[in-house]
Amino acid sequence: MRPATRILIVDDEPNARNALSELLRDEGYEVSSAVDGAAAQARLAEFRPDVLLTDVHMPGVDGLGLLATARGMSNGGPAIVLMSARPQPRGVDEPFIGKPIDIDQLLATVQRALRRR
Amino acid sequence: MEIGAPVRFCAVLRVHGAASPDGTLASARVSCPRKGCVDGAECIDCVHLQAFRSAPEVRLYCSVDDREPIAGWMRPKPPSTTVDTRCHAADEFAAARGVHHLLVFDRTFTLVGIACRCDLARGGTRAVADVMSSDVFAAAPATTLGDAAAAMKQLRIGCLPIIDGSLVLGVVTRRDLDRAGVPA
Repeated sequence: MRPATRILIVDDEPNARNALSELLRDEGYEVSSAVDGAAAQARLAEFRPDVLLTDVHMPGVDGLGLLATARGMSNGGPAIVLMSARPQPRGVDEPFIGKPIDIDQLLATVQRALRRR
Repeated sequence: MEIGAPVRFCAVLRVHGAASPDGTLASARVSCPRKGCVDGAECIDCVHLQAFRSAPEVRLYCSVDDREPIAGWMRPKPPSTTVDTRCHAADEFAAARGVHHLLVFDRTFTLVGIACRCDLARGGTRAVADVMSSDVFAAAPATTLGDAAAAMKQLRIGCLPIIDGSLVLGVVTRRDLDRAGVPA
């Protein structure tokens, strides 16, 4: 049996994390979450996600800081999807999805990010 | 909950809506605890909406801030009765209005008690004043949802009048707090 795709959700808003976790688990993904960029950096090596779904604006290490960490991983790192209630940051060409999250749009974006990996 | 996480929200409301013919949220009618039945297009712009899916059924994941003032969740113009009213008549009135509690006012229009339907049903032809609870706990409109829920749980009450000085603005019941995602 093919192992489930692992997704690490990083968002400082508990409700966004919980909602996305539930929705993505319903779709058959293996999901873990982290409250901010610093917690996610520690979780990356342990959980080894296929996809990193991260909020851009967070206290401390933000989504762009986390993006730099993930890009520097020795195994090439996970596919990355950025999300934010604000417009997509300039100069970043990673897949992006606006908030509130439309789960169908998110699923398509995750698949696109996995293909780019 | 993770240690050190900001405890801003205390609940996710999952709102289920009627399936729309074309499967889009914009054309769906959803049952929002805050606004009642609303057009799904309003939800897309709502600051409380975190995530949603529109098919096979509409599901909205909304945030509730337990620091939100309780005034936004109270029911204005709460059904009320007077101390002299007979219990059976007051009980019929409460049933007709679909409420479990009635605020009780005296002849000077002062709030003096709360009567629940359990007490009224037992009261028969006695006056409401004989069966009502005279210990009335009330909250100011700025009281937070979290504080109101904690108080109702501690005091073991199911109905909390919201007052501004001597003016009764409305009531909040356990059911309202359940709808708000902050159960008492």
